[in-house]
Amino acid sequence: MDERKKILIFIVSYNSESFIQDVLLRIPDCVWNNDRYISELLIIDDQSSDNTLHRVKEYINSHPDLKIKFFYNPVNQGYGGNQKLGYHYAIKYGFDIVVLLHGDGQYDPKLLDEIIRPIINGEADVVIGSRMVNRLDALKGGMPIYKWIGNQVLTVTQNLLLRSNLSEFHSGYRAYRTQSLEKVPFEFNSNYFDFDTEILIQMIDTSQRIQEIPIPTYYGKEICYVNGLKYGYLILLATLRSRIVNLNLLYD
Amino acid sequence: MTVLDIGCGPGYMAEELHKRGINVISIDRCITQMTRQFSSEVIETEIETCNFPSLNVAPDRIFLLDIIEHLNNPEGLLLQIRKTFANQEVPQLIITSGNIGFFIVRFGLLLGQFNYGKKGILDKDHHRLFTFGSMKRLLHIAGYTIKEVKGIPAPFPLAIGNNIISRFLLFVNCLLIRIWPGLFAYQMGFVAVPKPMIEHLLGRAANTGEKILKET
Repeated sequence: MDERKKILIFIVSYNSESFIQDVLLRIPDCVWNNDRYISELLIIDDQSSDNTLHRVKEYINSHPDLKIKFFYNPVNQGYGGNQKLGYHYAIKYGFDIVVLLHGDGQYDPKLLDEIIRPIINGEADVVIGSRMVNRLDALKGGMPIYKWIGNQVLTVTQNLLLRSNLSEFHSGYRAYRTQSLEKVPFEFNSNYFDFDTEILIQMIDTSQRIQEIPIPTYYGKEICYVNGLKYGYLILLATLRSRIVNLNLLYD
Repeated sequence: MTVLDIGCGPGYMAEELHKRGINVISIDRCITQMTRQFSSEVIETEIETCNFPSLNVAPDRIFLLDIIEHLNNPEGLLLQIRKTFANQEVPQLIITSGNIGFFIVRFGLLLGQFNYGKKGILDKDHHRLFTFGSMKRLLHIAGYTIKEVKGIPAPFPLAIGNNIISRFLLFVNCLLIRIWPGLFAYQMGFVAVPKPMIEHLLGRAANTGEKILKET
């Protein structure tokens, strides 16, 4: 019997025709051929209107040896809604770890092995690829100054409220131990971009071990679908609400 | 059209619907003679422990009229309903409940008065109380899309008789509800539609993805 851990590399994709093949090609060989784990790739496209599907098909057809699943949402589920499907899949099919990766190339697939490792080693339940371990590096990597300031303000506020010590809450490059996902009711979270914060709050509240690894910041030609003000408002609301509920002042 | 009336009570709704030629399936822990008379099917069971999938019904509308405030776990019931019916021809849920934010209740609290009574918003059988905000949150978290929200005035004709005063009060109440429903609505009415469950969405995404890959 194969004792190796089962890893699901889960790519959320939306209108990423210019980036998706590059993301897939940059997944290192060691992720596909590894003594400690076996990998499967799941791409869930959230009703892209560009040629993302063709790009994915081309890649799958040219790599018949790799274990790749492609799903397509006929109705757009949103960034958070799409993640719910991937995590549900990971739980349903008995994966040990699921890694979230973006189809728009914002996060480097070459770090996949690094982000998985702390969970494989039993040192963490959640690993976040953080662009803010060395804060100024994010600016050097092209993060717009207004986003950098917003990220800092939100992170400091969230750390204070949640009594945590994370360098950022807003990275979408994460690995979760599937057993940890089973412990939190992520299916009730937002379908929007604040899903990432909500699930992190749930992980903190259930005392899951969270580790950060530094990742480079990359801002290229990808289109950002996040409305900054709405995102900030929802993040603060979710964080405040969770603390008020924790104080038993509000039921949720 | 078929209506599933959960927590049907004495059977007034079944009678009204029957008069309009609507098929009614009534569920409650105690079924009255009147309900039996006007329903096409009756199910006598505890609502919170009802095994909805085993009912094998496909309603067009689901009524939860003044019932969720009597339950210990309305979240659980809403989730059960969603699990059972969201993946079929999606039925509309019509849900009503008292508004704990009604100005009389708020005013009473301001004066240090809060107690349960025989009838009304603070009926002694009410376990869970909601405002417009908390009801919206309840439906949102349970996975429903809210289609319509309405404020319902206080039943003045029932309280003081159907006369010119009660009709005037009703008129004023309706006007005030337009200005501030959270404060002046005696009851709340919501129309909501359950969203498909994740399992269903995942299956649909998998099938669609497979079809796309097979296309040449």
